[in-house]
Amino acid sequence: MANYSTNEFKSGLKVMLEGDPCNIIENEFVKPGKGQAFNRVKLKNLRSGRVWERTFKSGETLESADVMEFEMEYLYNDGTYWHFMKTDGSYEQVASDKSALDGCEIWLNETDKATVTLWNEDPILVAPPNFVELAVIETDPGLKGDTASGGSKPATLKTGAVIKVPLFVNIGEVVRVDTRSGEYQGRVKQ
Amino acid sequence: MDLLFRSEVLKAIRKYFYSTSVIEVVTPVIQEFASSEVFIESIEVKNYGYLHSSPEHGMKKLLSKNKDSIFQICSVFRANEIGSLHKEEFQMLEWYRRSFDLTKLVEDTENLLRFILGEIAANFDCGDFCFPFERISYKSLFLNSFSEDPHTVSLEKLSQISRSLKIPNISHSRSDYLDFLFALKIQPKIISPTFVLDYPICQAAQAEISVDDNGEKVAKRFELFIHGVELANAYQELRDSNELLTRFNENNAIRRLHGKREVTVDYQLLEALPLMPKCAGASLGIDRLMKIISGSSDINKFYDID
Repeated sequence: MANYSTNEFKSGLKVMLEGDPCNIIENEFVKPGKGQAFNRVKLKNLRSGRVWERTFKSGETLESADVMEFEMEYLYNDGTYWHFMKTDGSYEQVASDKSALDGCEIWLNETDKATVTLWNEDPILVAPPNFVELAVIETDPGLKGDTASGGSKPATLKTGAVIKVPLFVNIGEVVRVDTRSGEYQGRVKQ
Repeated sequence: MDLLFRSEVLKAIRKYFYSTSVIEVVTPVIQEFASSEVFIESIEVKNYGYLHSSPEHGMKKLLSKNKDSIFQICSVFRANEIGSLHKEEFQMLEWYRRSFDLTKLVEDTENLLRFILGEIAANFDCGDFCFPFERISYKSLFLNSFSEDPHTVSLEKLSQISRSLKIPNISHSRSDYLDFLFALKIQPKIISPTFVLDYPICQAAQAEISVDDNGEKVAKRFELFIHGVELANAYQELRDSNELLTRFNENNAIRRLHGKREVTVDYQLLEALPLMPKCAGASLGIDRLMKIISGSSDINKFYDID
């Protein structure tokens, strides 16, 4: 594996730190007037999603991480693994375990595109699209005429996600959801 | 990019010094000796010597032969310094005032900045600068942040503080620890223009050592910080060549510890130093000044030729 020296650090570079692949998101060269130079670096741990701040002496090196992001189509879940297929025409498939999904499985709708991060060709992170459209499979009966403001109720979507929806939403309707906040965005006309 | 901006800043600097009887000088860019600083790497020009990392030595040699106050605006060169506040070639203002002590040079520096801002404010948006600038001792800043006296704190304690702040264990000396702690924990918080005075003697560089009000030995050095950026560095100049030789040798010893090449001592400077009049001198990064005034994010922007 190649090593990167601090003077090659830049945002977007994928490196290994404490055994985890990380993405450099910020790199600042710091040098006190007469003092030793160092780099203050912000890295995102691609496994945990946490952002780390670290200081490196100039000239220190980090091993590069074999990390690639792909847009992939979500195929199905076999009970243990979630299967995805590359959309680059290769039809290559990968299987991701629950840890890489980190709870996002509730937003995965078959044939939707997700961003899958591969480290040494294994999925370590799956990011669903920011917005998904999912059918409501369970909720209290809608209150006719109550299309104005006020009140919400829980609704279960086809993927198992439970979100809050306005009172007028009925079973069978498709709703648009922001996966980052889990918030209802609106009904989708079929 | 606006070519007029640098031009107007330079014009204002020259106007200030010309109006206060400071003579503009030029010293050779190519030097026989590399910088004696431990952490400044000079750029070598094969068969010729080194590009100057600052005009300090050349100007001090001039001072030893003339009795004027002098200033110079020039490009200086430092290898491997690349970042939003660093460039391997950057523009520096350096000036020496005869018979000044550090206190008078602080006032002079403040007057210079007030003058530059006044000159260019009509044509350029300048951020707000509160005058008078603040003045605080290095010791007070260090005490406020770490509850330790930087002049007397033990090496053990410095190492302990650094470890607790997850500063990597890469230091070899007292000065290294102080630099890291200052640069990471103190400097970013100095937003309004502030003169930091009386440095620890291990960071005296070419400043005189004196005794402060508490009887503590301090280096007569100041740095000016604005918006967390180090803008100027100044000394009440050391004129004792034996003392300077000792410091040069110490620097070489630290260079060895860091696995760096030793540099040849500039003996011409050692000969010139006793002839130099009592004076105080400062250097100021012009690109950084432009960055601070304009609120720009990166000094490299001022060198774009597109």
